[in-house]
Amino acid sequence: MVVEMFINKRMRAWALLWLCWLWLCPASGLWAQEAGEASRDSLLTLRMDAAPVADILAEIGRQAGVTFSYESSLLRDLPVRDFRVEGRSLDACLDALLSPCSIGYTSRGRVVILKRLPRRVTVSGFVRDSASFVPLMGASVYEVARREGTPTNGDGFFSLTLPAGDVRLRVSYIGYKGRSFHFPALTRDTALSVELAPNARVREVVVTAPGQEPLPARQPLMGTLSVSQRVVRAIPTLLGEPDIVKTLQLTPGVSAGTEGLAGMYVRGGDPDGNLFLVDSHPVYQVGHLGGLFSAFNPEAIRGMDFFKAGFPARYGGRLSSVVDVHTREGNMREYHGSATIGLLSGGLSLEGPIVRDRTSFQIALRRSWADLVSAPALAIVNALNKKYGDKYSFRYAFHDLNLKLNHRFSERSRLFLSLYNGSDVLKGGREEHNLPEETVPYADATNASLRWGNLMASVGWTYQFNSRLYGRVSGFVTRYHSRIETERSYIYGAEDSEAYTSSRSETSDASSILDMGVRSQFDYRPAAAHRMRFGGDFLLHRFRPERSEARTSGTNQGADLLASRLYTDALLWAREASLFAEDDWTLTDAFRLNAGLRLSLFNIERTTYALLEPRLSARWLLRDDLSLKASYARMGQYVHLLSDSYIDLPTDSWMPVTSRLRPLISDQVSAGVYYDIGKRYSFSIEGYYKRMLNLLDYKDGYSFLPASVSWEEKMAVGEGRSYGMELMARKSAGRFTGWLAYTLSWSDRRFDEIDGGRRFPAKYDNRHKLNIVLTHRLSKRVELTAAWTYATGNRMTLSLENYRPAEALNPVPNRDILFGYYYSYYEGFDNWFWGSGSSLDYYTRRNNYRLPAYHRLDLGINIYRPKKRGRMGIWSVSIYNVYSRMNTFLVYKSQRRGRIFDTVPGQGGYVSSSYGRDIPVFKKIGILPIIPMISYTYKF
Amino acid sequence: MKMRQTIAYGLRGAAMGAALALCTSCVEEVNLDDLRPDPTLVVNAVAMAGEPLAVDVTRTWFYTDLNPEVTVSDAEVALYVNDAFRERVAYQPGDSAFNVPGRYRSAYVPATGDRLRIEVSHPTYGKATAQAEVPALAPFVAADRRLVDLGNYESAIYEITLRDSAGSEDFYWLRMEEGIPVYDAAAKRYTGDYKWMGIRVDYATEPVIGDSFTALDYIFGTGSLWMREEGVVFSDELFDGQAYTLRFTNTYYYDQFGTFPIEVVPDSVRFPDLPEEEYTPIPPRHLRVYLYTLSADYYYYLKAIQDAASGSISGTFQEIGLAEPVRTHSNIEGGVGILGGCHTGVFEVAISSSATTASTSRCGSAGSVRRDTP
Repeated sequence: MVVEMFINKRMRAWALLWLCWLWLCPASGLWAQEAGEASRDSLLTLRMDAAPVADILAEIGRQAGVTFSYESSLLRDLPVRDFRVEGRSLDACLDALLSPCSIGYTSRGRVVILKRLPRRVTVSGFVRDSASFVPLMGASVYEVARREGTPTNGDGFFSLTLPAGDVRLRVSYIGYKGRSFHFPALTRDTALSVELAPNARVREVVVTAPGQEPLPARQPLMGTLSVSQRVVRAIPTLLGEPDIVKTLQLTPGVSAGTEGLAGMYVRGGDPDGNLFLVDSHPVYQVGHLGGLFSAFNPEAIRGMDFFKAGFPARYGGRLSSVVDVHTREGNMREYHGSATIGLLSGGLSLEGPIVRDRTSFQIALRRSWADLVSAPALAIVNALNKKYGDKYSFRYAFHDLNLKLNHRFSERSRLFLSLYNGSDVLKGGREEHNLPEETVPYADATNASLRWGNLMASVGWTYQFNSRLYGRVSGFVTRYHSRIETERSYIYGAEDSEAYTSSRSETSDASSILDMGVRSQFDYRPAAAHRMRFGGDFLLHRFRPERSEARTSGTNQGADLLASRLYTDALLWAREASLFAEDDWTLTDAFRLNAGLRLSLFNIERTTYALLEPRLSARWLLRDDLSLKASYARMGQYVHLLSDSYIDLPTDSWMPVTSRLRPLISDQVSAGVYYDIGKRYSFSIEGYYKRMLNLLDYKDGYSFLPASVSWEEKMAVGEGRSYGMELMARKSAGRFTGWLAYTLSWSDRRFDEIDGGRRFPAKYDNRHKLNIVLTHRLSKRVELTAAWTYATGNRMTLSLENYRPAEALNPVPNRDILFGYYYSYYEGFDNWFWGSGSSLDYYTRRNNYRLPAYHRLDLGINIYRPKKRGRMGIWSVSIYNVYSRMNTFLVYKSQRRGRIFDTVPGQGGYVSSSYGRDIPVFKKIGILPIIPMISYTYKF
Repeated sequence: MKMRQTIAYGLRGAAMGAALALCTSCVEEVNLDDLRPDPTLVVNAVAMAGEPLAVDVTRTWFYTDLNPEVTVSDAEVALYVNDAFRERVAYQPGDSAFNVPGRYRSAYVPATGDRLRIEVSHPTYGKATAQAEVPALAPFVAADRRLVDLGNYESAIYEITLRDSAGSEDFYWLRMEEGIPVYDAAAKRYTGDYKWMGIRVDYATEPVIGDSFTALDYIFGTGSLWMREEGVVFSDELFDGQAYTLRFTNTYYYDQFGTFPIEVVPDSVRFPDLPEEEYTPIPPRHLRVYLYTLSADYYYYLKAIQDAASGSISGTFQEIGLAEPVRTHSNIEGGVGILGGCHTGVFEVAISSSATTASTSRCGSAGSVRRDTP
């Protein structure tokens, strides 16, 4: 009975419990479900001021019906805060409350689990020279433990996002003492202004890539180089003038073109396929005197970046290369300057603060001497010729002026103004006039002048928006113009006399290109793995292709003479706009990608062209010292240079594409292997293939077209291709530095209206090219540089055959005249006796002949003589073509005087006689022998 | 002291020797025989109104070949006139001009407006064709010559006036001769004949022709059309549809015959030894103007040759490899050479300013015009 009662009671209890569980569990589930649904769907409203986070969470949990689970220390050090939300969901409330605290959460039904997130901080700021306060571009800011780093941009700005905690930074720059910074517990974004002191030792001569990654194999881009001013000054060149273009000619993939000139044919491209920028703004004419001197004053530049492949999306407008020249920023703390005297030119430069640490200036002027010497010489000649009634005039001069102003509003904000002006002038003429004793007035004069040059002015503003975003906006004007004028005048007789005759003939040819535009570029670093750049440009182009005017006027015995011609290609206005975005993305430590896209638009003559230019570079780090790289780039070009010679002449004109002549396009793929040995040696091998479309050149026979024919009618449109391989071995540190560069390449062209539409080799299709450059620091004060160059010869169009001309238009019988020479047919000869000039040159294929191989050795020595108070004198001696190899400049047709003997019967036997005759031969000529030069620079 | 002098002389000599060696080492002969190509057919012919067509057929030769035989006498030459076959032109040996031992001469005589086509074929050198049109006569108006006394010397100014037709591209060739009256000393009279001398002027003084030179030529003193007895070619680009006077100056005019009569003897002239009253007054000299019209292709052909001979700076750039050489224009398909069209016009005027006495005159006017046209 008791058992029955117990069992019954127990059973009833269990049954009751079981029933309750049955009812409650689903219900609890239902309830939980309802609660869960209610927690996701409930809209919460809180108004809590200065409340601990824990209390806020509790209230949220109460309203939402959830329970929070977290480690007790998670909320311990969090400050009180105000928290107000109205009608927000649970997730929204938790995001607003917890994200700033680096706390994350996950929901499991009614339970919300809180967890601490890994914290990231951003260190940003500027790296500058401690002596001058000038920003250092390309300095390396590197986190030692994690091996993450970033270079400074053109304004010295860097931004590096890292996990919070123990941070050790190393900031370094070549030629400066490095600095280290240790943050044991970095928990928030930090601004860091770094000043590096120059290294007291003589700086090493180094060629690196932009970005200054520790080792070339790790560098993300390919086909790129950074060259410092010191490298440019160290390389010995023709006429002793430091030249950035001639420095680049010593690197792989760059053909020099005509010997002695600053030509640049990059991976089979044309000279107008190189974009030259001065502080990111374009200039059009980059040489003086046909390219003998470059337009960049080395005293005014601090370095340059050179791209021939893997072009970042921020660059566009040319097919083959980009040379971004960075001019010096003015010293914000001290005044410094230099004076240079060479055998052909001299220069002055000065920099210093206008307001210390706030405003600075930098100005550099270079000018040639030639006219200062020729003027007195001509005066003497004219004095001697005065009695004959002759007078001559001649003058040539060039100058370059660089000016830069910088103003720092604050650590974040900076204003700059940059100006470049370079020009050439060439004048000459002759005048004849009656002598004093001659009663009849008479004068016959011919004068001509050529002026050509660049003017570029820009003003810009840079601003650091926050620790991750940096921006630069600028407006600029750039103008290239050339003007050629001639004047001929003739006067005879007194004006009131019947026999008075006068005439005057004037011609004027002018062409110009004027660009006005705005440019913006933003540098955004949202995370250590990403460095983004984006921006846009707008340019207004004004082209004056040609304005040619000729006028003749005068009087002849009372009758007026007048003839005139005015040809002017109408002013062409064009608008160009572009947008770009690129991301330098470190996917993993081994794999890095630079991907970008550039969209460019060009509008002219109611025609608009749009080009999408994808850019891609990838680097795969196989080991710390070994990497594979590949890149693809499409480039577009809307302007091109019309030139009928292979040197820079003032008669060259920059022209736009038109509705008939489409934009030039190139596609280039490259791939390579890079290997470093330690920190001093690097090796690379790169292969490339480049295809160029819509290339322009003068068609065959264009010079016979009337001057009134539009310049477009004179052009042929075609295509080109170039491919090859480049090897580079480099030592970049130590007393002994330098590089060895070898290029194996092919380059050709095809135009429908040139050479019968057949494919022909490019003029500078140099099959092999080898450059060896060595620099040795003998001591702190003496630096030796040697540069040896070898290249397969250039190509030229050579006539190998001759043919007879047509009979002269000479109806008078028995008169044998053609071109001023007389011809005879001698009976008894099997063939004809040709007088000189009696045949015409027969040309077959274009660029059919390859000149002999080219090689030369240049040596240079820089002797530094320190003086008191930080001043320095530098003697630079260079010898161009040390072993005076007369490299073949040209092969041409000529004659050699030969001797032919005849026997003539005479009294007592035969008498021999001999006479000379011209024997046709081919000859080659070299023009540049050994040329020593010397210059002195005084720095203060 | 003596030692120092010796050393100084030695150094000087060494420097001069090095300079000489340097200069002479700049230029060397080079053998290009391994590049010798196959010869190409050369066809030259100028279709002149009123003259049978004479066609030269030759071949190109490698430049270093000395005196090669280049005449092709066994080619087949077919002549078409206005798209109709006219004749097979035969080779005539001995029909020699100044530089060929024979040529292919047609029986047909071209006329103004004819469109000619020739086809030349040879088993070794292949086939070549060309065509050309014969232009109309040149629109000559007047001509004159004036002498200008500048004290120490004289200048001569030649003025030729023509009236260009509007709306068409016209091309001309101009050449001038001055005729000296011939005296018969035995008969003591002037025969009415003239000894013709080529006139040498600087054609570049005329803007229409000198316009092809650039400022670089004026600065460096390059580019000259001086001393061209064969004349110059030019187009109507600057005076299309206008009456225009071409003006050429011979700055330093030298009259080698002065005021003496001349007597023509075989292959020469001589001055008869006569008292002045016997040979004066001397009749006025004559100016003969050859003003031809050219077909466009022939003009471009002659212009290329003229420009190459002018020594302009652009030509210099081509010669020294700093510019692409300009090929002499050719309208021969399958070969090289020229088939040109030409209408000859010869105009003769008396130069009234050519004085009959010893002094020269500054005033002149055009005399009568005698036109010689076929």
